[in-house]
Amino acid sequence: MTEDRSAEDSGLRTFLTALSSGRTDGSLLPSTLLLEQALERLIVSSPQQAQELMVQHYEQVSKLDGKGRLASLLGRGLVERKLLRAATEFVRMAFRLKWLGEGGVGARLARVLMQEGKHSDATEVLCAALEQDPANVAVVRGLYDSAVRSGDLQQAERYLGMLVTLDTSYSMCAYVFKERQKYPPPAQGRDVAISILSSYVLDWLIPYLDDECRRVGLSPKFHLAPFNQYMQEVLNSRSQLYAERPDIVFLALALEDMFPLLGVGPKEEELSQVRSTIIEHVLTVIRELEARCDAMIVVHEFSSVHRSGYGILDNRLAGGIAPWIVGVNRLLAEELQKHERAYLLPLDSVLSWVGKERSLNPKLSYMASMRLSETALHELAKFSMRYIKPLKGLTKKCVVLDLDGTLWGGIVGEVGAEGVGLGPAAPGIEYVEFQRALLGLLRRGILLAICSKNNPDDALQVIRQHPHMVLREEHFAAMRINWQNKAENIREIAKELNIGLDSLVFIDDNPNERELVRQLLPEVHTVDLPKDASLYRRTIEDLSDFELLALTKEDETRVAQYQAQSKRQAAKNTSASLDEYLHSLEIEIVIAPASREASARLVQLFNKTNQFNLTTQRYQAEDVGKFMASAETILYDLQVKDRFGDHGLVGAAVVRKGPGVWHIDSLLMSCRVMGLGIETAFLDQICSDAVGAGVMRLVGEFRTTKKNSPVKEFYAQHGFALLKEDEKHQEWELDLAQAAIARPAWIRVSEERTSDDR
Amino acid sequence: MTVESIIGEVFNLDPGNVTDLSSKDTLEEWDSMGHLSLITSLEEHYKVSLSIADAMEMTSVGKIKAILKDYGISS
Repeated sequence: MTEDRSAEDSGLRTFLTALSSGRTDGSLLPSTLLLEQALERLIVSSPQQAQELMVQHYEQVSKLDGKGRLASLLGRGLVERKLLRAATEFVRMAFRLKWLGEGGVGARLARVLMQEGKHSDATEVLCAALEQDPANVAVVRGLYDSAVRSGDLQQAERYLGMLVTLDTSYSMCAYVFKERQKYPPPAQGRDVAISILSSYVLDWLIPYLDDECRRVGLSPKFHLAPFNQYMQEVLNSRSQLYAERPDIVFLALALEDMFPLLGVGPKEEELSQVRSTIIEHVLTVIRELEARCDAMIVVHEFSSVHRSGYGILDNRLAGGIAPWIVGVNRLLAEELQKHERAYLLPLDSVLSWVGKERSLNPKLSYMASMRLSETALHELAKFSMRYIKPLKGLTKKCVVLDLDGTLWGGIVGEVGAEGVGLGPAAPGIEYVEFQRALLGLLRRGILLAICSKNNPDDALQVIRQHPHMVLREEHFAAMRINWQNKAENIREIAKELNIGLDSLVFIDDNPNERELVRQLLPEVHTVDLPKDASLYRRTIEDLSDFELLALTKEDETRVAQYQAQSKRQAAKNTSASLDEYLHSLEIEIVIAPASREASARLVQLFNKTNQFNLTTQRYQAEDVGKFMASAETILYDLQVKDRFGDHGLVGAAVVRKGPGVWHIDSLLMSCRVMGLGIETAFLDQICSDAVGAGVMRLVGEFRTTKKNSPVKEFYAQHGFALLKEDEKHQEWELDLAQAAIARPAWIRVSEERTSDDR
Repeated sequence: MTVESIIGEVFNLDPGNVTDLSSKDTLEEWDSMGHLSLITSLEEHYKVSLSIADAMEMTSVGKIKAILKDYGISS
């Protein structure tokens, strides 16, 4: 044996030496295949010798097709024999020389190194492995462990994020969820309390939903009613459900649980009776929830798992099941429209996106009453974010679009305005469809803007004249067509539209531009646009960033408002003085106690307004209703009009009336109308109402947030005196017997609202 | 992929520490929810649909291997 090995070894040496000296054509030399086989045998019998050889003749080994397999075999061999120092050295070299394209050996070696307490060696091996094999779950797991061990939780959180992206299975998601409970990621954003009430087991939804929330910076807290005890929780005011003070409650009921006969094919009379029982049951839950908590309520629509016993006759018979379920859902939708805080989640359509076949798992449902598969739960978690995001004020306000390769095919500077890919047939129709989807967003009140590296004349020629452009100049609230750096342009767009960078979504087909924006403006949501333009429309439809909880008149006319804004800017440039400019605007405002019809818009303002917001209280429909009804509070709304257009309802204030003193609980205004003195007129109106009621003291509150620094000095500027302050909170007071607020001369205040304001 | 490595992945354990005797009673992570997750992973990796009775019987690594053999899977 020993002799054989040494003979083979010396044969290998001879061959490798011959290779390195360039004498490779001699017939005495074995083929590379034979060489690989010989090396393999040596690795198995004597890994140390093999390592020595491979390192010495690394240039030759690099030329072998089987180098990856050999390197992996050697790495494993060295680890198995606990030759850790040699293994570490060799594996790192094999990654560096790109012999190893697969990270498995690295992960295995790192695990052993960790057990031996050699943490920094382990981390270095893993980093080398990640570079060659960035999608290797075992490697990322190892890196996560080492980040936790070194206490770098920020880095650890990044690795967890990579893990759930690489592997969407439930076991991975559950692992990541548990780790996040153990080591909470640092500096997370706002909290959200989520409750789930269900007639079947939905425990597996939580890890998926947790991950979706954390991706958008929310820190979620979950409450799941014990299996099939949701009704007890709903009816008991002191239950855990209410103790958790949920922001949102999901109600997931399965028809089969409420009506087991459904699987057989019930009689027509039974069906209509069951329909009213089911609807009444859901409405009872909603009414109880409404009475006992402030949460938003999301009811899953009904979706069946069985095929009808009537076969193809199902939709011809009065007792057909499928039409009956459609009817139940329609009735439920109608009923829910009467409840401001209740929404119907279109479960059947969510499941149909991934396919019913893949959504339902009969085994899990029989074994554990788990109705939905992990694929379905993942999709459901993503869809649920469409309710959670707007509730927490995370709705985006503007989509910033590139032109070449994004809104149309090709580069206009090269192919000319007529040559771009845009038309009624393929290729070209995929871009038309994408533009149609964007126009749909615009109708919903989401702004569109352009940020393109182009000659403005070329690009504008397409936008203005191409017969198949769906989006025209009037659809864009801002345009930056130049050769400037895109991050700079996007910053300018945000400034021009007076919205935060975190309200922007950036869409560009060029990965380099995306990377630039991602690095320089991490607050902007940069979308990973697929290479294939036929997937563009789907990509934008899949974003859950544009959901509104109610559609208001302001949403539908927003572009017109922003365009009027640019005209106002133009007027500013031509007016000789600011005073003249302000007078020329012919501003007219209405300040009055809010009426019922304004509720939806007010809730939206309370939840969206960040900059001009003195206390940033995120009031919901329920609170708004209370303010309107109560004699102790006044809820003001503010409407603004000027020469260029109607801004609609753009401001609100909540005033709490106490004996001898009024307290301004909230004061907020859309930043579109900032800097025109409107806020001063608004404050003045509150003062004069107080004086009218015989109250001579007005107290205003300011709470610091990351975004409301523009109004930090608001009370000081209006003559209020500081009463008390701590780090995040100030109280200011104005003695109305001594001081008054000067109402700006250029603003006309009327008390009467005109009928077309809403 | 071996049964040991699947168990290692599902319960986040070093597969080197998993033996035929590892079971629901010896592994803390192997609770009833974990069991379902394990069954789902086994079915996915071996492209097999296990009967409910078999799935409920798979309470140790040894038993899993024996039952998989009935489905023509050598693990």
